[in-house]
Amino acid sequence: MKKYNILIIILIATAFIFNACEKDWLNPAPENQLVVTDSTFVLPENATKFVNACYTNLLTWEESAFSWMGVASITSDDADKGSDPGDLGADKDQMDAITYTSTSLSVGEVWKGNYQGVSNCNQAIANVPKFEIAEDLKNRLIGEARFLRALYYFNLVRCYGEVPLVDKVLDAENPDDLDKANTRVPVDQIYTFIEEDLNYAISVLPAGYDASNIGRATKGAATGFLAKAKMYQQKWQEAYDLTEQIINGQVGNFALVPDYSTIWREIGENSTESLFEIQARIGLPVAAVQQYCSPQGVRGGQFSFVGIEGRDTSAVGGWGFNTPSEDLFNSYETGDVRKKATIISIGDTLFDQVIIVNAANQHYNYKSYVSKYLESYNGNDDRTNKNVRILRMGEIYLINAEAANELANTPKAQASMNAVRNRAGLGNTTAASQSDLRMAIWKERRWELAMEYDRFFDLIRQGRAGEVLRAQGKSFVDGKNEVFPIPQSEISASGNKLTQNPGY
Amino acid sequence: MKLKLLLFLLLSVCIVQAYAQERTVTGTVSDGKEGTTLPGVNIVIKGTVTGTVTDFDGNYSLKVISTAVLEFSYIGYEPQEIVVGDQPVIDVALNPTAAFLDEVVVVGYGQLFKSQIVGSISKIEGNEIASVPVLTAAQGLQGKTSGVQVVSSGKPGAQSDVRIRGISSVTGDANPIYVVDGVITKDITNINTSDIKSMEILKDASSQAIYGSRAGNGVIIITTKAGEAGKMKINFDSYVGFRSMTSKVKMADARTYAEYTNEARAYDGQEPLFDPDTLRYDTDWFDAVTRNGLMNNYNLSIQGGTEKVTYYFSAGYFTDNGIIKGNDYSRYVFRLSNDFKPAKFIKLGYNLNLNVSKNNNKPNVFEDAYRMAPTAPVKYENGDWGYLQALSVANPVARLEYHNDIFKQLRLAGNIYAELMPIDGITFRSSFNFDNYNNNGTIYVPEYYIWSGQQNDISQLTISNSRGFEYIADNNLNFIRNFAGSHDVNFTIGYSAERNKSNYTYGYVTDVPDQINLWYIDQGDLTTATSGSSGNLNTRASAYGRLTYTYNRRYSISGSLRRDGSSNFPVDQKWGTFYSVGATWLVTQEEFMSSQKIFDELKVRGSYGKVGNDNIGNLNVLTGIGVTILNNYYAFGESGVSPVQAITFNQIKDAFATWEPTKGYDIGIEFLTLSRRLSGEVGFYNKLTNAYVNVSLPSTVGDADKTVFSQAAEIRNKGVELGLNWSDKISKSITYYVGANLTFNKNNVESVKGNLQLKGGSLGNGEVVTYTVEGEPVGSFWVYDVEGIYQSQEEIDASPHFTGAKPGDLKYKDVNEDGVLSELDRIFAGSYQPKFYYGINAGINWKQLDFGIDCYGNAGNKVYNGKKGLRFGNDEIEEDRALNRWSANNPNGTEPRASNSIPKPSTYFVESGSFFRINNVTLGYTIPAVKWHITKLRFYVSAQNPLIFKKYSGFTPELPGSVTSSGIELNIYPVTSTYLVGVNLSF
Repeated sequence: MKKYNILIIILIATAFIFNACEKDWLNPAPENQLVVTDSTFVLPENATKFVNACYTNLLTWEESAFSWMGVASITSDDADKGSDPGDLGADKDQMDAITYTSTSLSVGEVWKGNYQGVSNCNQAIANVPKFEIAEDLKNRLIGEARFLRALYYFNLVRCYGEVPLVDKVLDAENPDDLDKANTRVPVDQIYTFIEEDLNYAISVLPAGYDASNIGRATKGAATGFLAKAKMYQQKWQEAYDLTEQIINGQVGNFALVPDYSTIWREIGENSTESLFEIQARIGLPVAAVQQYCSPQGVRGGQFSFVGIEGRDTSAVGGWGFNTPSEDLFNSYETGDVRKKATIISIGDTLFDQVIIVNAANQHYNYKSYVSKYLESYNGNDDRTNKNVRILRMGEIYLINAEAANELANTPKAQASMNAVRNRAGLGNTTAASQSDLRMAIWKERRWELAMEYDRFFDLIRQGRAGEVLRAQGKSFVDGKNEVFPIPQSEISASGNKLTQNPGY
Repeated sequence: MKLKLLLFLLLSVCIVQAYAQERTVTGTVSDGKEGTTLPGVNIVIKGTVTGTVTDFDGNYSLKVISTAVLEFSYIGYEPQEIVVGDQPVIDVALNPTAAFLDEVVVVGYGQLFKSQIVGSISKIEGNEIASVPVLTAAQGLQGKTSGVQVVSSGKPGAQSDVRIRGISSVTGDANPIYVVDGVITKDITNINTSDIKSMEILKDASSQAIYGSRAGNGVIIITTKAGEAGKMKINFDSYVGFRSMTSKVKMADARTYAEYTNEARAYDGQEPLFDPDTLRYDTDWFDAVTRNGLMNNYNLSIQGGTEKVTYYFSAGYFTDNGIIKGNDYSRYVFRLSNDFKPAKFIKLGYNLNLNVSKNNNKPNVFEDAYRMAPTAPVKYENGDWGYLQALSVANPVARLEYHNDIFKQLRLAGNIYAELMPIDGITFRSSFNFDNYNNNGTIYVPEYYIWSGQQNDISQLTISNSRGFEYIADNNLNFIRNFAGSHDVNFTIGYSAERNKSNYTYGYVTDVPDQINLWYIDQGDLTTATSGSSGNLNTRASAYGRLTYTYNRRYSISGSLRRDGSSNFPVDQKWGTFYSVGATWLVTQEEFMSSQKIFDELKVRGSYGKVGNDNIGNLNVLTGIGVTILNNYYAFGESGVSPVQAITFNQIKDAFATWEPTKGYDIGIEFLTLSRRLSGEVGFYNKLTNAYVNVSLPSTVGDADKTVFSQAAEIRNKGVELGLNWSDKISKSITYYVGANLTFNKNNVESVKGNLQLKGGSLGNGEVVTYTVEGEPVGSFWVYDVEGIYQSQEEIDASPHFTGAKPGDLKYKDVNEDGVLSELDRIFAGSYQPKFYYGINAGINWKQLDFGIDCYGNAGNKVYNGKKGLRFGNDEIEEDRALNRWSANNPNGTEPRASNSIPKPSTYFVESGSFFRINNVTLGYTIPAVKWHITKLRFYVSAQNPLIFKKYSGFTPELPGSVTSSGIELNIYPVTSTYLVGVNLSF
C-alpha cells in the first residue's frame, strides 16, 4: 500500500513536470491583443484602417486641443489667455505674453502631436502597399496619407522652422534612422516635401466621396492646402492658379455659404464652404477631438433662456481659455456679421436662445460653442460633436485676392475680397492701391478667420508680427519669436543632437 | 593521515562490537515542556560514531551494550546523556534551551534554525500583529522591525505601501510579495490578522533568492495558525472603537478669506468678490465632510484535535468606517484548516480562507474641502447646495452625497497538500495553492444640478466585474539529516508551475433611476449602453533548491538556486537564474569563547545573492496593434454612419525585455548578552538593481508615449540596521521589556543609460515636481529655489522672473545664471525616502496589569505640500498664510502676497517629512482565577496613533504613492487616530 501511494504521488508530480516543461506553458497567446502577424496584412479592410490612423491623430489632445490653442491662437492679438487670472493652463500665460521657453508644455505637445501624425502617415504609406487591394484604392489611400503628412509638416514648419524630415518608418535601433530623426533640414526642403506630397494627393484623390466617406481628403482639399503653402512661400502665380481652380469648380464643388454664422455650427458641417475639416461624432464609439471645446468654453457661466419652457438653466461651459481680445472685438467694421458670429459677450443671446447672464470673462469663442439644445450633445463636454474647420472657401477667396494683388491684378483682388465682405454684410472695399489693398486683405483675413488658429502664423508670414504684437504688450522679439523653441525634452531625448532655434 | 585514523577508529568500533554483548534498546524522545514527540533527534553511543535518529514519531531503536552511554542531541534542546544499563526502553524528554539562535524560522519552502540562517530574516509573532487594530498584517508591521518601512493612509480597506530595505523598482510595483501558506499574492486584505501564527520578512537577496524572479522587492511569508492535538480551545477577541482625524490644518475663517481673496483679485485688476462685513456663513469644510468613524472587530476561533486529525476554524468580522462621511468598509473572514495523519508516513491537509468584503467608496474630498470657500454654506436655508460661482471647486458634501461607489469582493484562497515521509528525514510534499477572487463594482451618479460648475445632466451607471484565478502547483522534497553527530544537512529541492488568469467586464449606461434596486444596465437608456471586456494570462514555471550544511552547530554554509520561466518575456528571454550563497559562524560555540562572560550567544553571518522582479508594468513584449476606443475611431460620412476603426504601430518595444535583477550582499552580527537579557542584531547591506525605466525617445521616432521601457537605470540601496531587545524581571510579579530598531538607508540612482527623463509627481495643476536622475535618490523633488520675497517692482525688473511677477511674489534663483527662469533652474531638494526610520516598543507586566507602547518615526526625508499649490482662483487659504502674507502695508510678511495664481513648484512647498509617532498604547487587565473553564479573560483599552510629533504643516507626513510620486500631499486620506476598548476570552 505504502509503495502505491508513493507511486501515485510521483506520477502526479511527473505529470506536473511535463506540464510545466511543455513549450506552450510559457508561450500562451496574449489575451485580448492582436499581434504583429501576417494575418494583419491579409484582411483588405486593414489597409483603410492604417490610413484612418492618419486622421485619428487629428483628434488627439496634443494635435488639436489645449496646447495647439496656446501656440496658434493665444499667442496672437486675437485672443487672450482668458480663464481666471490664477489659472495658467500650464503655460498659457507665457503663450499669451510670448515669454515661453523650450520647456513650456504647449511647445512640446504640439511638436509631439504633429510628429505622431507624421509617423502614422509613414506607417500607412509603408503598409498599404502590402495589401492585395484594387490599385486605385491603394493609390487613393496613399494619397490621403500623403495629404495628411503634408498637413502635419505644414504645422511643423510654420511653428518651428527647420525640423527633421522623417519620410519613412524609422527603426529606433538603426543609427542612420536616428540621425534622420535628429537632424533638422532647411525650411525650403520641408516645403518642397510638402508640395510633393500635395501634388501626389491632387493626382490621385477624388473630388468627392460617397455618403459614408465624407470627410476624407479630397482633390480640392489638397489643392487648397497647396495654394496656402504657396502663399507662405510667396509663390503668388501658383497660389493664384490653384485658388482659381477651386473657385471655378475645377477640383470639386465649393462655394461660400450665404450665412457666415452657420459655418462653425453643426448645420454647417461639411458644407460647400469646407475644403477640409476634422470630423467629430458623439455616441459610440466616440470619435471627436479630445477637449477642443471645453478649454475655451464659458467659465463659471450663469445662463437663462428666452421664452422657452422646460429647459434647465445650464449650457455647455468650460475652462474659459482663449478668449477673444478687446482688440479683436473693437476692430470690426460696423455691420460686420462676423463679429457676433465669432465672439460671445456677456449679455448676448446665442442662436439657441441661451443668454449669458454672467461669466468669468467678458468674451468667449463662439466658434467653439456647442449647443446643448439645438445640436448633438450627450453630456460629454470633453468630446463634443464639433467639427474643427481647417480650410474653407472664405480663406481660398482671400488667398486668391492676396495673390491677385501681388500679381498686380487689382480688379480680381477686389472682386475676390468683396465676395467675402459682401457675405459678411459689408460693402465693397475702397482700397485700390496695391499696398492699401494688401493691408485691407490682411485685415479681412483677420475678421474672416478670427479664432480659427490662423492669425499668429499669418502675422509672421506678413512680416509684421513684432510690430503688431508688441503693440498689444507682448514681448515678441524680432529674429527670435518668428519660430517657437525646439522643445527641450526633445533635445534631451535626442541626446542633444537636435539643435535649438536662435535666441532660445 | 586522517584517513588512516578513521580506518583505525572504524576498526576499533568493530572490535568493540564483536567483543561486547549487544542488545536492542528502544524508546521515544519528546519535548520536555510541551510533551510532543521529536523527530530527527540525534542519538550517538558516546565515544563512537555509531548512532541513529528518531523517526517521524520520535521513536528509535539501537543496538547497544549495557555499559554504553547514549548521547541525545537536537538543535534547540539541551543535550542529554543516559547510561543504558539494563533498561530495555529508554524514553527521553529533552529540555528546550530557550536560546534565541535556536528559534525555528520559516524560510522559503522549509524551516531552519536561526543559527543556520545566512541572510537577514525578521520574524514577527502573530500575537504582535493581532494586537494592533489594523486591517492588514502589513500595516501591523510598522515599527516592529528594522529594514521595513510601512506607509499607510487612513483609507478603509486600503493596503499599505511596504518598502523593504529601500526602493529598488522605479516604474514597477516596489511592494514585496506575500507568501500566505504557499499562495503568492500582492494583496493580503483577505487575511484576518488574528489567524496569523507568524510572519517572516525575508530582507536580503540570499533569503529571497529561492523565490527568484518575484523576490526583488522582498518577501513576506505569512504562516497561518493550524490546529494542535489536544483539548478543544476556544478564543474570542473583540474590540470596539472610533477613528478621528489626527491633525487638522487651520484654514482661514470667512472674513480673513474674503479679505485675502479681494486683495488677490485686486492684484489682477478684478473687482472685489466679497463685502467682508456682510458675510453670512463661516463653514468649516473639514468638519462638514468628516466624522468619527466607528470600528468593530470580532474574532472567534476553535481549534484542537487528536494525534490523527487536527482542526482550526475561525470566523472574523471587521468594520471600519472611515473619517469621511459614508465611507464604510466591512469584511468577513472564515478560515478552516484540517490536517490528517492516516498513517505514520503520510500527512494530508487543506487550508481554506474565505473573504467577503464590501467597501462603500467615496471620492476623496480632502482637496475640495481644503479649497472650498468658507463663505459658502453646505446648504442654504432653502435647501439648495452652497457654492461659489467664482471658484471652480465642487461642494464637497454634495460630492459625497451624489457619488455611489460600491465594491464587493468574494475571495477564496488556500491550499490542499499531501506529505509523504517514506524514509526518516525525507519529506515529499505536493501542494496545490490557489487564489480565486470575484470583484463586483457598481458606480452610480444620479442626475443633479448645483451650478454650472458642478452638475450631472443625466444619471450614469457603471457595473464592473473582475475575476481571477491563480494557482501554483508545487512539489518539493525536503531532506533533513544528521550524520555522525556533527554534520547536519538540510536540503530542499522542488519545482512549481503557476498560472494566473484574470478577466474584466464592464457595462455602462445612462438614465438609470436613482434607486439602488434598479441599478442595472437594463434599467437605463440602452441606446447609450457600452460594454467591454479584457483579460490577462500569465504563466510561470520554476525549479528551485537549497542546501544548508552545518558542522558541529558552529559553522553553516548555505546556497540556493532557482530557475524561473515566465510568459511575460520574449521567447529568448523567458528563463532566468537566481542564486545565493552564504555562511554563518556561531562564535560562542568555539572553545576559546567558553571562558568569556560577555556574550551568551554570538553569531556572525554573511551572504550574497541575486533575485529578480518581474512585476513590471508596461512590459508588453509583443508589438501589439493599439486599439482603444479614444482616438482610434474616426467619424467619416454623414451623421448616422458609425465611426470606423484605425490601426497603426506606435509602440516601440525592447526586444530584450527580461527580469529586473537585484544583486547584493548582507553581513550581520546577532548576539545575546548580559545574562540573556539583551538580544540584538546589527546588519549591513548593499544591493544594486538594474531597474526598468521609461527611456525617452524623440517624437520623430513615432512612439506614442515617446518612451521605450528598458533596463536603463542602476539603483543602489545600502544601509545599516540595528535591533536591540531587552527584557528582565524586577521582581516575581513585575516583568518588562524595551526594544528598539533603527534602519539607515541610502538610495541612489547610480547610473542611467540613454535619455532618461523620469519626471513624475503631477500636482494636477500642470506642474510636476519629481525627477529621477543619476546621483540623486529615486523620486527626488525637483523645484525652483526660493531666494525670498520680492519687495519692489525694481527688484523684479533687476532679476530674472516669470511673467506677471509682482512685489510680494516668491523670488526664484536663476541657478544657471542664463538670465531667464526655466526648468534648467530647478534644483533637487531631497526626496520622500527617509535617511533613517526607527521603532521603539516597551511594555511592563505587573501582576494582572499589562501595559505596552509602540512608537515609530522617520527622519531626514522631505514632503511636498502640494495642496498649497492648488490655487486656480479664489480658493480658500490656510490661516497662517493669510495672516502673515506680504503686502505693501506688511512688507515684513513671511508668506507671499495674496495671489490667485498657480505657483511654480519651489522649495517653499518642500517641508521636513520627519516625524515621531506613538503608534499604539495599550493597557490591559487580566481577571484572575475565572470560572466556567475560562482560561483567560482580559480587558484592555488601546489608542492607535494618538499622538504625532511632526514639523510638517499639513495633515500627515505619511504619504503612500507610486515610487516616483510619493511624498506629495495633495488629496491624501490622512492617517487617523483610533481609540478602542477590547476583550480577549479563552476557554
